[in-house]
Parts: sequence; structure tokens; C-alpha cells
Amino acid sequence: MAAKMRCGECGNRDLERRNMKGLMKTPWKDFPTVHLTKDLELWHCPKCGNTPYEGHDPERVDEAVEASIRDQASQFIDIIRSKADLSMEELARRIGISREYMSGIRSQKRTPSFTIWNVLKAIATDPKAMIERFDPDLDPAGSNLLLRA
Amino acid sequence: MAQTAKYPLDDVKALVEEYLAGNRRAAVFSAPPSSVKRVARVFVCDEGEAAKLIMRGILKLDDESFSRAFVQWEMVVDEYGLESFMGHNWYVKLAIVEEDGGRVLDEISFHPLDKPMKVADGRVLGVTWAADKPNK
Repeated sequence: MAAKMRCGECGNRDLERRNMKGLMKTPWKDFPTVHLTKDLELWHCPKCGNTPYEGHDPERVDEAVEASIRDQASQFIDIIRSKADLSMEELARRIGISREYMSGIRSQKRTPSFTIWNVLKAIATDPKAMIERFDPDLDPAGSNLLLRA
Repeated sequence: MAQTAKYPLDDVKALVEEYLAGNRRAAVFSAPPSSVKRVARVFVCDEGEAAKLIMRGILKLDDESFSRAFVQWEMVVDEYGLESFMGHNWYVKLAIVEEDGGRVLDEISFHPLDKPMKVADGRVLGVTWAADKPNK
């Protein structure tokens, strides 16, 4: 498929279609970087690496990035629950969010904030060790980890 | 003799209005790191919202915002300086390209000024966003 536009960074007209899954890392809202783990085909300039957008591409990028965030967060939850042997309710209690919100993230119906996504990612790196740091019963005055210094 | 824009603003704004009305074929963003992605960083928003903000910004352009027209990659592009839009001064570069018998707005650059910019009526627009860096 031939591109009708030229690359706005280098002027190259020989653009190619490329699936950016696994290739695109982009800031998105308050996420410093999101790794795209969903299929998304965009124009790509082989000369300079730019991805020129057609008019609907900003919204397509948003959909794919948001789906990637949800997918990753859901996987973090599964990893944590299986390795630390935690119920959804207990995990939610530990990190200071409602069970319903946690369930929504797990089922990919809710998009977590960067803070929640980052906490889930941190725990998922070593669930048994990391989850011990998240026990509100040990610190009633600061029971929400996310508010702790 | 002062330069004039290659692409009449009425034509540019007509394509913008089409885009905002839902016809996404009315525009392209051929350099997202210099437009959509930079606006998204400034306002910490998603790229769809950034694209719409860019279009609303273009609607604010007037003849006094024009800076110069020049040839880039065998086509003429128009440069503008947009003053005090959403709290900042912006560099805008655009063109209208013919495609399949129709016309498309190529929104090439829309980002906070990296350096002061002189516009048609002699004003020099200053840099208002020092923290922004190109997002490649």
C-alpha cells in the first residue's frame, strides 16, 4: 500500500505500513512511557523512524495504548495473585483500593492510574517479597500505601 | 514586499472545521513528534485530545500570526506564530496537499516556541514553555 503523504520529519515519500506492537514506546497522559503490546498498524518512515499520522491515527493510538495499559495491569494482578497466593480482596486491601476497582482492572474494564499501574508492576517483580511491604494493619495511621511517604 | 501565506487561512480553517466535525480524512499529522505528541506532553492529555487542541489552535490563527512561507521538500509550507493560546505561544507549520482530487490539511508542526519568533505585524513572540523537549 503506497502512502499518500510524505514524512513530516524528513520529507521521504516511501513510507511503509508497520505493526508497532512491541516497537512503540510512548508517553501517554501521566504515564511517562507505555510499551505498546497491542496490534497497531501505522505508517512508518524507514529513513528517519517517524510515524506520520493519518487523521484518525491519534485516536487509534489512544485505543491501542490504553488497551496495552489494561492488559499489562491485568497480567500484573495475575502474577501477584498466583505467586503470593492472594485473593483479589486481599490484594486490593493491601494497596488501598476497593475490590471492585481491582476487579475492574483485572477484567480490563478499568484503566488504572499510573500510580496504581506502577505499584502493581513493582509488586509483580517479586510478589512474595514485595507484598510484605504492603500491609495496612502494620501501619494503621498510614493505611493507604499510596499516601505513605 | 512582505510575504503572504501560500494557503489562504479560510481554506485551512475549512479543513479544520471538517476534521472537528468528524471527517478525519480532512487532515494528517505528518510529524507527530513535532505536533500531537508535544501537545500531549504539555497538557498531559491523550493524543486524540491533543489533535483536537491543535485544530482549535489553528482556528485562532489570523493574518497577523503569519511569519513566512518557504519551500520544504518540494512543497511550500506556511509558518505561523500563535500567541497566547491555552497559556502559551506556539510554532505552527502547515500545508494543504492535493490527494485523490481532494485537499487535505497537512498539520506538520504545532508546538511551543523553542525560540522567539517574529510575525507579520512585527511582533516578536517569546518562549513560554521551557520544559518541553522534542518527544522522539
